[in-house]
Amino acid sequence: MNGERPRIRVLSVDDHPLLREGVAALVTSQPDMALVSEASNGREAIEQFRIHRPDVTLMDLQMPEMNGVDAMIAICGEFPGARIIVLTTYAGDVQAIRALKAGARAYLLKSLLRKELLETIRLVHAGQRRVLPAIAADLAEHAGDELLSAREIEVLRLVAGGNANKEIAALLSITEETVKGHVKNILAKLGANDRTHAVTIGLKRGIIDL
Amino acid sequence: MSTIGQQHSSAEVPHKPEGKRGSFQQTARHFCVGLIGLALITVAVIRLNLQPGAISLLYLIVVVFVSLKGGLVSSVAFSLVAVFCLYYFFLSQIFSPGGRNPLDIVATIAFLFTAWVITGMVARNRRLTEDQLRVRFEERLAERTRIARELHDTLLQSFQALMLHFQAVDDQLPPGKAKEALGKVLDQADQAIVEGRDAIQNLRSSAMFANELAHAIAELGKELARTHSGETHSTTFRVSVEGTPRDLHPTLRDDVFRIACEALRNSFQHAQASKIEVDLTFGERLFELRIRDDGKGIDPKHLDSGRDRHWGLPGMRERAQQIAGTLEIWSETGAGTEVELRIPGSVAYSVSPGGAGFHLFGKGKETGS
Repeated sequence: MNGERPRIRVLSVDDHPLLREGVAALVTSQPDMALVSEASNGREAIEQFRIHRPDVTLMDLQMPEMNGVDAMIAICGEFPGARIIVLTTYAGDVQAIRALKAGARAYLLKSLLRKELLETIRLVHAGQRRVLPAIAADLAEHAGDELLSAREIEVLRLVAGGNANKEIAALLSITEETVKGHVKNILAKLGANDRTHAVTIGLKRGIIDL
Repeated sequence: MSTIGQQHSSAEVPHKPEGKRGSFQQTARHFCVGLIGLALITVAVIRLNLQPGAISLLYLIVVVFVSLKGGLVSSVAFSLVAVFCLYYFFLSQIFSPGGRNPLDIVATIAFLFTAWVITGMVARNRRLTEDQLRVRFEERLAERTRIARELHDTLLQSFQALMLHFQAVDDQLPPGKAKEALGKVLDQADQAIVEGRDAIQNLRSSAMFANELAHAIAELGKELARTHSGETHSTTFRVSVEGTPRDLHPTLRDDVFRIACEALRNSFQHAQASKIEVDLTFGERLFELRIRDDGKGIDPKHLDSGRDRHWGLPGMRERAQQIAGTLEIWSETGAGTEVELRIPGSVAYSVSPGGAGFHLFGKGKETGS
């Protein structure tokens, strides 16, 4: 298009090499964009950001070593102007809120990447924010809900792993009664009928991930 | 549960409530059945003129049977009735024709003790089996989580990545038929990936949100009816519930639901039925799911071989087996199909009701939360 205009410099962060390749194929095919660097976890992302100062960062959330949310908090703390787009497999209001609070400017589902990625990169680069309507609706629906405490999230994660109360108690070094209390609170806060239901809701809303 | 009927116009769910009196009636029924058994044995024993040892043994069997069936109240009451009969009709005459004999009391205590010990042992054994099943459910939950994670990390990510590559290629194609065709295929692939993603997310849980099996099945039937309407025939669909609906164990509930899915799908898709009915029976001792249609039936060849994946019959049988249930399928060409799943109540329900457990030895074990 316009040879004079500087290209949008993009940093791509994802632990899956094939996905990074896909993003690279799409981004480098655009005349107004350039992929400056890649990272496969949060720690690398911070390093690469410091070196390259990209215009736009594409950030996966679930990564080994350091996840996307923690990386975003670190990056945005250091560089308040950082423009970060979150790419994730699952929707879910809690995960979206966490990401947006951490400083994400946009929140994209990987299933919609093909059609939305390039446009979103341009919008975010232009200083706009972008949250897909489906996710916005999700956010609105649970806006007034009581959030789970860190401990409750931990318990829910262990429940999802197929642990019985006794095992959870042993793992967290608390009594079985306390675990039961946590489970009861989790069910009440999520409006779940039983443990499996709570796990389903937890996954759907991004409170826990697989 | 009682609101199910109001939520669907096409699928009504009549519901016969048993209410709180149900457990009392159950106890009374067990007690009465026991009394009849006792009376029959007494008559037979008098006729046959058996030895006191044999008489005691027969009584013992009836007492243990009633104790296992009924709750603590009926078992205690019944034991006392049995001891009274034993003492009154037989022992007193044999041991002491004239007056009282301390041996009678010893015999009575020994009888009660033996009855309760046997009952306690059988009940404990049954609880242990239930515990084993429960552990298996937990293990399966963990296993499903592991599979879901694996699929998410590998297959799903790779497909999502490949879609980006395809898009990059698509962008380079000049406008024309090829680009148009590729665009359509890519849209379909998107859809497939989303379905795959949702399936992975749901791997460990059914589509049911509440523990309302009847509701979920009714919803599914409605959905299937909608998808298959507009064909040459119309189908009426009905779900009915008998007994007081109780919570099923979550993992088991998934399997029950999936079996129902498969059976309903068969009925809606292949049977060309005009009537499809689902009966759920929440019995004290037995949970039953029955799905009936008046369609064209399943070819006996398919029914027996189980090789034909078309009907998903092997999968249904496998699931039923895993949850200690029995699955029976009756079908005749032109006469319709009936699928029946039966699961023992002790396995099916997530929490045993107060009356059903005989907790003489050890503590009652409770489920998850």
